[in-house]
Amino acid sequence: LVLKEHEMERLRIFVSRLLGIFAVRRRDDSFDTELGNHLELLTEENVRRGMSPQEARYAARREFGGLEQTKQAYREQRGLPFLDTLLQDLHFGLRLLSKDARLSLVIVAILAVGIGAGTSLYSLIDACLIRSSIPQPVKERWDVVQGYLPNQKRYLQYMSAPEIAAVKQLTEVFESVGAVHGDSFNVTRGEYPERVLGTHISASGMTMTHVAPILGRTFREDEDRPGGPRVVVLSYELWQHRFSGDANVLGRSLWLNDLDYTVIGVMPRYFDLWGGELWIPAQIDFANNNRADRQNWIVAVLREGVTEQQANARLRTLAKEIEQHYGSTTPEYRDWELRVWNIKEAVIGGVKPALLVLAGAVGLLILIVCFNVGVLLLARATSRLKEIALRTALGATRWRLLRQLLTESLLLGFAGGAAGVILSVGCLPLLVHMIPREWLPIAPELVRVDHNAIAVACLIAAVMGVLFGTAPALQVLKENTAETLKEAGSKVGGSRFGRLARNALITCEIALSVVVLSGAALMGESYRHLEGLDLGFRADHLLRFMMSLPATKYSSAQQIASFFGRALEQIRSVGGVQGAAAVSGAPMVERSVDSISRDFTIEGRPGQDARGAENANLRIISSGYFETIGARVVQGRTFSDRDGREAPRVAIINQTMARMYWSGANAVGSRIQLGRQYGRREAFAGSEENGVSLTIVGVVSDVRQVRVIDVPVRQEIYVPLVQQSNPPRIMTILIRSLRDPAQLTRSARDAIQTVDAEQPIYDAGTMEEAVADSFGPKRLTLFLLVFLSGMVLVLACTGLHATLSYSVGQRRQEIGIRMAVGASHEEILRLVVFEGAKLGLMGVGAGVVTALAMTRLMQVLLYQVDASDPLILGGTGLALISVALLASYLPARRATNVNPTTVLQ
Amino acid sequence: MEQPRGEVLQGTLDLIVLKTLDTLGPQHGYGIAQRIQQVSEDLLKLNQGTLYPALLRLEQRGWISSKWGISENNRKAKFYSLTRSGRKQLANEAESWERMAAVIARLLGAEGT
Repeated sequence: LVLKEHEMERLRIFVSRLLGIFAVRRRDDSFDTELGNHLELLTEENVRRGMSPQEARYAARREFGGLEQTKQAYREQRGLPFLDTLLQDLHFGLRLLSKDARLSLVIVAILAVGIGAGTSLYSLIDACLIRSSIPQPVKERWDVVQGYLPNQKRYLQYMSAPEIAAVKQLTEVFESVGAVHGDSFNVTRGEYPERVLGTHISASGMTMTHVAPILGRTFREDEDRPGGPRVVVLSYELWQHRFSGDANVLGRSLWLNDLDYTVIGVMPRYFDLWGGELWIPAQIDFANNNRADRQNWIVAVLREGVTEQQANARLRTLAKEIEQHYGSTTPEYRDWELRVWNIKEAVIGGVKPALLVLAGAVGLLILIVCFNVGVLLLARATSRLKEIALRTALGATRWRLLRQLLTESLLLGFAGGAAGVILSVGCLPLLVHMIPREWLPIAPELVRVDHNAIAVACLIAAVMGVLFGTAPALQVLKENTAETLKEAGSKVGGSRFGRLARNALITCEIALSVVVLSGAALMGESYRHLEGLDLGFRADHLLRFMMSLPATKYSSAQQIASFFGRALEQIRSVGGVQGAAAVSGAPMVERSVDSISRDFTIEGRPGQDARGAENANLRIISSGYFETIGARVVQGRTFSDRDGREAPRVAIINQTMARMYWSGANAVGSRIQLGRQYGRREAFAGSEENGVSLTIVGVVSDVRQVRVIDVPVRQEIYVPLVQQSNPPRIMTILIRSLRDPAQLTRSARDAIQTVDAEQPIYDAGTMEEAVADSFGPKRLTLFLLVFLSGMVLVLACTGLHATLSYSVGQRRQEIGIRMAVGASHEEILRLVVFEGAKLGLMGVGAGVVTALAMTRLMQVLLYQVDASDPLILGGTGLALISVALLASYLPARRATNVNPTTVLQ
Repeated sequence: MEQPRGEVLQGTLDLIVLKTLDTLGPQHGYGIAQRIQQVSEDLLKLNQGTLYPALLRLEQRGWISSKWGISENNRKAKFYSLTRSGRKQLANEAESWERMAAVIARLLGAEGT
């Protein structure tokens, strides 16, 4: 026994007493029965002794002693006195609240909406914008180690084998170090060929996730070496659709890029590590001394107790050591830095502004809810001045009264909180459902109500209860009891303090509404601009899919070029196809930075090298590319059959590049040379062909290439596929069709398989979808902001309406007098509407000023819209003033219904 | 002349109730009160009402338990009975009471000589 006996006993007494608090009525009844019986037995006994019934009853009472004292002693013994009073408070509170049921319901409803909407939105934001962009099983503690080249203002996200080995040595800093990079594979030899995204990951990287497979195992260290066994771990989804969830999948083969891999494990559902549906060992060759061969991200977990600063300090020394040893052969090591980034920060970075704005809007919503409830509670407390004064006069202590008021507000707070949680749980699926599936970056069933959010929301409700429950209470208690008793009934317009506080709150509320609404309006305007943006090509009627040729089958440049040539020819002969072309990187596919770029020099202009950040994007295209996507040729010509293998090497540039280097003059005929290349190796198979002269034969219109469409267009060089000595094997095919392009996918695939029956296509979709996708996050942000603004508007209306209704109620006598001395209905109407308009104007004034300061924070989210756009701010202000007038009209109407004779009696 | 009746000493009521239940077995409040009065031959002044808070206290401590039953005159009544820990408690308290009584007796005796 851990508990000592007397402790057990005390516990038992406490529990019994605690239970005694409940079911008070029933227990009282049963005790009354017990006592009644006792008295009757005593009486009977006395009668038997010869007393008259009357005498017998009195004698019994005497023998028994004080009946009420016994009951009181019994009750005290039964319950906990403190809780008893609390229950009394609660009981009384409930009675009062139900007496004023409409107001109480409104308060609970507002709280519920605020807490419900707040938590739902927070959960949604968390699921869509935070969780979805982080590898799911990754712990908070994961870091990535990246290099920074200050001279080129560029990050080295991918690292080479010797660099990874060096970081791995820092065991005093890192608990474990892993390497990872994404890839895609042709899966063949099943029912159908397909393209699947996968991840090369070191054995240590896989164990760092601390997620166990549901079948089999993950890689062992001895499998993660060059030339190690070909093993693969499947995602739940791939296991389901490729192997129909076969329980005996372990040991079966999966053909990836024409090589057989043995399935050794299946990960649980929703396991998402850098996207992808399969994981194979990274098998990094640490004997590879090529320091520029950078293929992997470094992921690491800091040792317990090691701070980021310490890790960065150690990495800085490591970078210096590497620079000293290898700086001469590897120029990018000059002044380079190595440092850790928390993976959350590294990945969230991009969505941070949107997150901040949304979180800010949710915060404002909750603030508005607070103000609203505050206004209502204040109104109520003031109307209770008389009751409280009476109770003070009757001898209630201040502490007791304060407790009473506090209990009531807490009761409201908790009721609102509970209703809010229910609302949130019930409404989140609806909200998620309202959002088109393609805007959601994660599975809808994964969006769940966040427990932390609920806890915080309930805490807010409680704090609100305390704040707004006691503030008026304190004020009420300060008032002179006798004065209040005399005046409370007749005071015009309620107490001055109450009125000021209410007006201040409602003004703040309107001001905050202006901020939220103008934020939404700015986003909407900017979205309108974005949608009207010239993409530089025609996105309609354009089908897009990718192909990746296996190196085993297509090894030479000629084989690759001739495959794409023949495939395109076949596609062009399909009915309904207007044009088809291949490109190394289709527009609107890459996220924010283009995949391939190259330094270049212009012949005859020494010292004008375009390097690093100033270099140009490079795209390798087939003939007919610009015609297919619908880009305009501004100068010169596009590539044609005469730019063959043996013909002079040619290039086409975009308008931005022509403007930057030829300032609009004719660039055609000038010659450029390509230099060092940047980008992921697997995205760009072309070898570095430095020093080859390319003649510019044309200038084309700027094409928006990346999905974050509000970044400026970069300078760009296009080169023909057939002239490349080491062309890429991964290309995107674009097809312009006359009909709905999505219907062409099948016939296009068939056409390709007449050239190579085993060649899959993947990532098929229309260009319109891709464009819509690139608007996704912005659209989601806009949707949520509009949703929030709606709620805010409703709340502001309720608040204003309630205040004015209350004030009309308080001023009934005044209004009655005015009417009695001849004021017309219109004058009364104007009186009340003016009060509302005054509050509205003050609120809007304060709001516009606040909005000017706050919307500036969201300038990064805006496109071609000034955060302080006077039209938008003015419009929002006007809209709110009209809403305020509308909200005042109803109470004003009620005011005109005041009957002077009844009020003045 | 009525003999002066002694007040029930603080803390002794529990012992008395426990002992009564031990002797009589399950009994209702009235029965307990009657028994106490009988045994003490009316020397003890007991407000029968004070019995009930004591019964509740004993029940809360788990020394006695109660359940509704039918009394000898066919009435619904609450019957109290000794629990196992109550029996143990009775033994403990009886022993400490005897010790205390002996000490008091010795003290008083010593004073007398």
